[in-house]
Amino acid sequence: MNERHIVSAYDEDLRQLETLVSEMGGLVESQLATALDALVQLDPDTAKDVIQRDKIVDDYETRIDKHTTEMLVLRQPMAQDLRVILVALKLASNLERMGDYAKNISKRTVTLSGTTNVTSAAQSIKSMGDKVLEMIKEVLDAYARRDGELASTVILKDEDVDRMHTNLFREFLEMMTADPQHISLGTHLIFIAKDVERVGDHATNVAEKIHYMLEGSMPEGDRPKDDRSSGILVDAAGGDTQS
Amino acid sequence: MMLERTHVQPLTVNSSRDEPSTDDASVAPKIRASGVNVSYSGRLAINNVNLDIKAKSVTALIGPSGCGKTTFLRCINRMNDLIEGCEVTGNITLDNEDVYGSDVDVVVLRRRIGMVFQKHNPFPKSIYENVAYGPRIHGQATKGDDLNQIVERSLVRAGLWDEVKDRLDAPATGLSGGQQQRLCIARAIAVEPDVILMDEPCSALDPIATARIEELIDDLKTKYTIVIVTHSMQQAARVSQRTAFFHLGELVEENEAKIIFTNPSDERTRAYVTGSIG
Repeated sequence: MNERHIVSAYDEDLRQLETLVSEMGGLVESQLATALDALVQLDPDTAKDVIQRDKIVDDYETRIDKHTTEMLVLRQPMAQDLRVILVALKLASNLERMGDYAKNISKRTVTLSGTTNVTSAAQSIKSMGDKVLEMIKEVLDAYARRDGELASTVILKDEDVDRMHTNLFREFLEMMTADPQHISLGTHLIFIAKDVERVGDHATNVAEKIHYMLEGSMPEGDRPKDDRSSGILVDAAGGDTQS
Repeated sequence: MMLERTHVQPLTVNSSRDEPSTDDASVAPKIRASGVNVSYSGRLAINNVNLDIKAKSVTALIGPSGCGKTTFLRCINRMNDLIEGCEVTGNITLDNEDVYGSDVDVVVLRRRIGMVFQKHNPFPKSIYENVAYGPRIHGQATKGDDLNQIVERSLVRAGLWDEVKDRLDAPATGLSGGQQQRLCIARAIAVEPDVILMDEPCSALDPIATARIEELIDDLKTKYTIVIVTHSMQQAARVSQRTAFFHLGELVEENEAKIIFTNPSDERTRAYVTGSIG
């Protein structure tokens, strides 16, 4: 937008807010990427770094909350400005949750770091994670470029993540059913996979909020979903049924 | 005065003031402006304004200085008749009656459409006389008791009664600015109007007095149709159900206030409400 406010300090406030959101988004993206690398390599030190850095993510949320509150009071924003500010508040909340999931993944990575036979399963989770990272990258680009079309494509990608999560869930159930010694490992992996899937959901939320910010309305229609993990049962013979 | 006849859709009108307020868009508007143009000595001030104003609700007119919002407001009760060189064309109806009809008694019209101005302007008389003056000249009360009742009821409705009931004979000019403005509102409602026009009624008041007037506007809308011109977008957002944005003599956009202030359709409206330039 080439437009500017009559009060130029207002533009500066908005720029600062957008910078904070973009920086927070970049940090969360990096947190998830690092958490997934640490998982694949079962690297507890890197995982601990991720856990440590979550405080910085939380700090960003606090700063954005403060900045938006001040802008609401001091600028009394209207129309698009109001939506930009409200959406920044919501994005900060979504990004903070995404950061929490990266931290949770890393906590389990620390726990799993002494175990073996994780490589293949971790690699499967990483594949899903890469898809989610792609969503995060695109959604942050959409935010920075004010690109509603790009935001809409991100919403569609969550369906792929859901499908991948359903497959992983089945895979880990089968692993545990085949060998009860893997129950502990499998349970952690199921939670990690779920964390990654939830990050995808939040990235979708972010995309929807960007749509709202640009258009003044939420995207039409239901968001595509294909997570069927809640309907999967695996019996003792290793066969699965889908309810 | 030249008056071009424009086609007005036939309406089922119920002018009873006791009808319940409704959001139903099918309800006939209290005021309908169709193709209204106003010029001052040949210079066009407002151009082809079409606007329906709903009964028993608050409609705010906003826009930059010189956009025509006050000119339009003053067309509704023919205040522009008093300005030399001012020409109004088009059609304005109140309850489907032509406001500019040749048989319209302007004094009666202005009783039905009261006005409150930017600068509180009580008569240099007592508080009581300020409120009693209108009903007396319009013959709405002949007996002293009736007049007393009207004065009390109007001051109660204007939220001023408790503050002045013990000094009704005191000069109105001794009241604070906010009180004087509420007295002007009491004076306007004493003659039982249908519509109250307000031209920046709070621009000379502090925030507390402004809040009292806004509370009063909110209360009065259950009984009267209110049209308010304001320079404060926050005030328009707080008090109006519908908001109309004027720019360079045109009505750019009119919609529910919450839509105008969150997601206006027109770029000019958006730039104005966000305080942006191009």
